[in-house]
Amino acid sequence: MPLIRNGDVIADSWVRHEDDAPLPADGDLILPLERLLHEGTQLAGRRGLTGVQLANTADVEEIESLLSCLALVTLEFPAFTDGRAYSQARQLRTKLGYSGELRATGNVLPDQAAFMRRVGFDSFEIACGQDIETWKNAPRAISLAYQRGYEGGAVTRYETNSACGASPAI
Amino acid sequence: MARKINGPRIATANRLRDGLVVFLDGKGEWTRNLCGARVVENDAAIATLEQDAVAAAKANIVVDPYLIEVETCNGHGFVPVKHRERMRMKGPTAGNSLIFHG
Amino acid sequence: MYRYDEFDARFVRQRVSQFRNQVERRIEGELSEEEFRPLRLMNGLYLQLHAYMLRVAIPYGTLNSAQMRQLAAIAEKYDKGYGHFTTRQNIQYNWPKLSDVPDILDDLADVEMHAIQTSGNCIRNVTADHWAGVAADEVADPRPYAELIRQWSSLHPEFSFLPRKFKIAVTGAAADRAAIAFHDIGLRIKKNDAGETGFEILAGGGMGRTPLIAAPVRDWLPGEDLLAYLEAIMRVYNLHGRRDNKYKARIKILVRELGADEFTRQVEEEFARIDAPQVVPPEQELARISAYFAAPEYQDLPDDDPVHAKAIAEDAAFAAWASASVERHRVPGYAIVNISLKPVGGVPGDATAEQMRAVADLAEKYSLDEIRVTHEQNLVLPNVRKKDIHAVWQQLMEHALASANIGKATDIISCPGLDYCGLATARSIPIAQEISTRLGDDARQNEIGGLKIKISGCINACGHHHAGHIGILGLEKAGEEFYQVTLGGSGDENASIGEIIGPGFSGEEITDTVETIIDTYIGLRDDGETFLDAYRRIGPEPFKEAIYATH
Ligand code: SF4
Repeated sequence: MPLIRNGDVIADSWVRHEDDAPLPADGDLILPLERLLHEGTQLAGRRGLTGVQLANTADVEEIESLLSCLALVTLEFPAFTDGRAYSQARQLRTKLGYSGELRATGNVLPDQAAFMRRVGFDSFEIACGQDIETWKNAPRAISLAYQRGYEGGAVTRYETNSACGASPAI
Repeated sequence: MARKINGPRIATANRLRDGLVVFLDGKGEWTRNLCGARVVENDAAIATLEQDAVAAAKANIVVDPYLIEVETCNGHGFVPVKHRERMRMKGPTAGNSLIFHG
Repeated sequence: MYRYDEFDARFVRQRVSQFRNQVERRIEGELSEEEFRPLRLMNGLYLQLHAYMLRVAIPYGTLNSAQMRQLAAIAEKYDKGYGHFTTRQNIQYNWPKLSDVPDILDDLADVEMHAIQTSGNCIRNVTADHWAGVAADEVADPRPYAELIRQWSSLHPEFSFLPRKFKIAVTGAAADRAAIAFHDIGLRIKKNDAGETGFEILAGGGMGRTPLIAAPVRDWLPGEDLLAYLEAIMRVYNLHGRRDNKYKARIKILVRELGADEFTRQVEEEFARIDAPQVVPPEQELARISAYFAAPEYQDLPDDDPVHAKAIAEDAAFAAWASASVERHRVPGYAIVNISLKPVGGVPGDATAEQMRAVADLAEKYSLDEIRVTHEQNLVLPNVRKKDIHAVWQQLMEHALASANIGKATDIISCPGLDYCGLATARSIPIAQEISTRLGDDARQNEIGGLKIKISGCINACGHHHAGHIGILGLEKAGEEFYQVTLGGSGDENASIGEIIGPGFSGEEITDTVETIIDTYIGLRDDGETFLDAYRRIGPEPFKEAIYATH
């Protein structure tokens, strides 16, 4: 499936490791939450990077103690109308201070791209066949926001009406 | 839209551009007039009616088509069996829409 | 009144052009109905029983005359010359064409209005006390906070795909005219001993098929924490609200299933860890908004006006109307004038373009350019000098807007029901009209006194029947409409949910039933006792006996 990051389609270096087999020492792996919790601190011995795949019913605080060894968290949208992952993303970014890659998976559509970026997602795994140009233009449809986003991309009300800072480029 | 109903039936939908209630007629056009609706009874004709209605939705002429059951009304013409469909066919029975024909 | 600055104006225009593009793609066939439906719903556009319906937000019920004139113009240009004011401080147009909707939204943007989030599983139009800023019993004006919430909730990136719709109401007075206990979140502004502004917070109220009164969540929240706290509530709901069953997806079910204590604990825990500077606007932002709601330049007037007193003394019809419609203003010499949109036998909440213009003219001339829309489907001129009330009344009469029935038996709330609504199970407008006609005689209404009759055309309860002193719910059985009656509901500061009185009634029987209920009350009431007080004292039994004995 195409992966979009910083407005471009990029190669996905990550592999999902879903079975019970021992973890290879090399390669960037995405683990289910259970496996991650089970491996715990042993992950530090691996040479490849580690990521985790969280269901949208998971409590993000479960991975709080492991965040420093994680380079990727994937959050899922089973349907674009199921908005739980927006709150999970926001909690990861602001409450837990996670700064690695945060990837949206599932029913990920360009109409929601701006919302996703603004709660902290920075990569998007999209279904084959979606128009990449629409993806690139999507965040521009609404370039103004009333809320301070985790990440820029929109001029916010508070930036334009107060001395909080200059408007970032759109 | 596959729903199990008995008796004669017609296809209805709302027109895409203005949202108004329409019925599929014998020539394959969508009409505002229930009297013009194509009434079908046997399985084959029902299947065709349903296909035609779905095709019109795919072609973006109408929205949300479905079949409704109708019955003869004192020998002349047909009326929908279900209360909701009768109301939908009649248009508002009260209110300012009756006074203002914009 | 709040005025858009360049930021607000550009925001709304961006949204309109985004939707214009989506409508074009739909008409060209690039978008299927499945893809388009959620997009149109996010802009307040429904497909109803007979046509599209556009719901326009009137944030916290506030309009100026230019806005009201534009609503009239839209009604004439794109619809059948009238609009319907709803129970949520919105106006609905029943007949717009899809292809016209982007133009309508542009016309709305010209007067700083929009239809954003009047539908969909997001934070809906924020409602408030319709006498905000002018009520004599007000602690503080809720409008600056309501506007702050409107802005914060507009296209909120985290809260646009909630389990279900979400409604917030704010009041700044002890008397609750915004029905806050029936909202997902209800906010009451308070002042502490130090004179600081804060909030009492309720959550988990609502109507629908499971009516619940909101639970107290916080007795005191400092004003500056408002958005951070709302964000904590929204986040707990977004993460944990049920998504498996549409009828259990509102926050009221989460609060009930967790229990108010556990729900509150989770909210407090989230709130404690919220990065406040991310959420809370800088102080100057609230100050900027508040400045728009500074009191207008009232004249220094004596509270008693001789012209008004004379008119009251000499004109009995005027006096009767004034006693129902005119309310005390917090500024001496001024009054709040309520305008009934409930002519006897008419459609509750409908106003013609001509009536809207008449109200706009009156607002401009006599009410410092302000109009309010109430959740009881009426209008208000909030700033009328007492000496002008008689002139206002005369002009209201010319436009059939002078019914003297505010708060009385014919001031009926009714949803559109099966005459318009695609979800309805029965008609509600004709029932409202028939009851209104039956009880419409002035002497009869005065004999009955204060009474709230509320009618919904299905279990969704948009007509607030659960909060009606007499509530009527339209249902359908075997192709026939029938009506279930509840008694003793109330949406004020002593909120209660009406109790079902027994088996339902046919459309032919329901008006008689309402009369029987009223006559039973009149027969049993103590001196000066209202219907609601009498019901609370004597309970349902006498009513049941009276109604069902005759059947
Ligand atoms: S209560 Fe039911 S019938 Fe009435 S407006 Fe709401 S959904 Fe429609």
